[in-house]
Amino acid sequence: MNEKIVVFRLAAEKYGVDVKYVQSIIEMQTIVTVPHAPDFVSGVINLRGAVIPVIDLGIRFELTREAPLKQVIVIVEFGQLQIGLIVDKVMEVLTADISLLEPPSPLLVTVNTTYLRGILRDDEELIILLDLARVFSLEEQTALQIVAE
Amino acid sequence: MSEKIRFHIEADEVDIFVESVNESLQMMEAGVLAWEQEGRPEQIADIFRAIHSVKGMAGMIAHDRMVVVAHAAEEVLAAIRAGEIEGVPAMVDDLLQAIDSLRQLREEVITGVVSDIKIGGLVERLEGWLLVNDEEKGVSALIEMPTEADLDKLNLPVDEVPLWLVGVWAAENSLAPAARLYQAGRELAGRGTIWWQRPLLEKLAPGDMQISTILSGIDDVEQLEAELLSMTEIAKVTIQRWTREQVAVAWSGGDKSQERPKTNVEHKEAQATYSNGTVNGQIIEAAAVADKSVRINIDRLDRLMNLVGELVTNRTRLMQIEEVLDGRYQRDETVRSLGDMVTQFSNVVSLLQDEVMRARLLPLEQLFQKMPRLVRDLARQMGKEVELEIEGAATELDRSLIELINDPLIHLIRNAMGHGLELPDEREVAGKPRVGMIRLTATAAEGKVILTVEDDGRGIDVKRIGEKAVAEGIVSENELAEMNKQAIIDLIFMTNFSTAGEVTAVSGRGVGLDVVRTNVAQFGGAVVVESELGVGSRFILTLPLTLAIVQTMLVEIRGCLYAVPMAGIIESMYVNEVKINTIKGAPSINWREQVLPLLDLREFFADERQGEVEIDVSRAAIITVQWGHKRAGLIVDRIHGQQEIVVKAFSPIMGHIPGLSGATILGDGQIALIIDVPNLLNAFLRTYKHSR
Repeated sequence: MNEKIVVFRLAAEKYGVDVKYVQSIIEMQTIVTVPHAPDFVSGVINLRGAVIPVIDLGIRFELTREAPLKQVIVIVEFGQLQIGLIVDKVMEVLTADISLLEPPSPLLVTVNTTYLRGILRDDEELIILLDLARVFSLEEQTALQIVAE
Repeated sequence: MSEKIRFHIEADEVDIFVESVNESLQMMEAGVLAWEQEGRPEQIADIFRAIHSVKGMAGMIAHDRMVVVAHAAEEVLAAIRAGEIEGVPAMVDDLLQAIDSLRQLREEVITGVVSDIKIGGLVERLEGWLLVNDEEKGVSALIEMPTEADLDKLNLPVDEVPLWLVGVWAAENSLAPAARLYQAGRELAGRGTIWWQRPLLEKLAPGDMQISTILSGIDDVEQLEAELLSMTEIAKVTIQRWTREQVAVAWSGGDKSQERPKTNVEHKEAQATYSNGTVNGQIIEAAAVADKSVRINIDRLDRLMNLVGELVTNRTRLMQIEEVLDGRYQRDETVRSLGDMVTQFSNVVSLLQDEVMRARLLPLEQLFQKMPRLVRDLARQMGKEVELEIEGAATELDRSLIELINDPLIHLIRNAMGHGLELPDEREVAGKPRVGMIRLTATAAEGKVILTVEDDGRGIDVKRIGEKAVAEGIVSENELAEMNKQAIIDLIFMTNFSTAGEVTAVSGRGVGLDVVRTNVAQFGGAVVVESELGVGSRFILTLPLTLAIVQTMLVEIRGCLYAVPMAGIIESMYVNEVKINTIKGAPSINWREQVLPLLDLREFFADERQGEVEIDVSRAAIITVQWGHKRAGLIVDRIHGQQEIVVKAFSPIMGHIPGLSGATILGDGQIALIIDVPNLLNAFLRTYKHSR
């Protein structure tokens, strides 16, 4: 069972998203901060006349680090919602056999495993496949709101 | 539990089916309520038409339970029309319940799931009305006849030639009754001149079981009858001489001497519109007019509105570019003609915007016409007597707003019926007429629509409200002592505030006026109340005409742009023109002889993600905003000016953002965040009070 994966780098690790969700990859641009928005929402951008939220995956994955200067935004569309993901660099698009997916073990990756579909091995490297449904999880959103209030 | 069900209907036809059924049921409901009051025979004919078309539509998609209910109601109406039975309130209750049941059954078409509604009892009750004198029931009972309105338009040659009323019934077990009736109708057309027919041949719908025709030029009546009867699956034929006088005796609506329920519904404008709407289809000229309009999917209108919104934004950008070029190359021919083009373009865009907005407007009538029924039922439940006056039903409002305003309006009417109006005896003691009054009005003014719900009931008891608010801990004794009358009345909008002594189905269910105010505020409206003890109350709802495009004041806060809807703004001033007082760290100004609390948006909208922001305080300004009776001054870094914007909601993944309702894209591509004035005031004034 082959799937095309867009691979990008975030800090020291490689991540992947099913290509069918990826709409475009754009340069970093002015992000308008929305005060009081949840932490991981960096703000909103104007994408061809639409106002779409941009999520800093580094913050979403609770990576503590200094973000590099030049990042890019991967625009994904999931369940009719458009969202921008800030990543360090887009590496490649590769075809991977999804049946070889390994469950995300906290031993293998440094990020919170909640958002992950599994781990792919590409030669010696690990590619962490994202579960977009969880990254965008609305339920968790509501929970966050309640905690914030 | 939920059993699936399928009807003979394509997915893309469901909307049209539902809407057509809704229209007919609405027409029927309005008709039944009006007939109950006035008892005019032509009203029964209109109601009959409406239920008949519902039955036809239900039959077409093979919705058997709908057909059964519609048929039973139709039979009752036919009997009333034939003068066999007379209307009584309990019968009206059953007819209204039939409408409710049909509405519920209609839902099955949308959900594809069998609803748990039981129709057996209702159908039995409806049939029960017929048993009163079943034996006398003549054949003519079920014949469709022209209404007075038809006759006025038809110009029948009543006195010149003999006219015949021919009724043809298809066999109950016919597989294609409409087709059989069509054949019979063709036969009739070949025999004489047709003056009136219902339904028209070309309008015959699957499920129609009978066709009535008035025609002239028949020589041998018996032969015609025999020939019609010999046709396939024709069960019954009646032919009788028809005269104009016969129409009058053929109908008998409700008898004025019958006991009437204690509601008296007056439609001023609304009524005129109903009767226009009910002379349907049968008169050819009317049908021609109807063909000039098309149904359009609301999603398509929304997309159109969005596209126009983008054009509006682009227009602003284009004008800016043109201005720059004009300054740079003043003598250039091309730049000058570009200027002309831009002016023309922007005029066209304005007209387009106006037209699309208009296409989304609908008269409030469809909302208002639900109210007589609500008032009637509540009056019967509560033993109150009430007259409902409706004014301004032709006032137009954005379609989506009409949907949104439905619940708040119903709530206010229930509130007026439950809390406002007294029982008839109480009213008499107070020296008022036994019959109370509820007035529902709509007017359009300055790009806003104002709805009022007014009653001449007991009014709001300021003293009682105050005591209750203190008892509930909503305000303290001291705070209450400082409040003026209007401020105390406003307490009824506080969460969980209810003065109803007991919980009833009508009001006092814990869901209160606070919900009304919150809901209305969500789409940029406001609710205020005026009341005089013993005289009555008036709730005033102010609504925007449309949701999509909003006039705003563009301001700058911490280097970011924000748009404040003009609807909430009273005025603006520079900070260095006024004296700011600080009491216990809470700033305020004296403004129009009031203490106006100040909310510093430079602090409220501070966020560490913004990074270092340099603030120029020289142009800092205060914008005074109001919502309901709440007021505050908002401090911003700078005012840029007025701007028309297209509202874009935030993505749901962002959750609710305090003080903001969405964002917009300006002509130059910049994003401005839209300030939600009611939400901001609510959040701010709550904490402001605590801090003092």
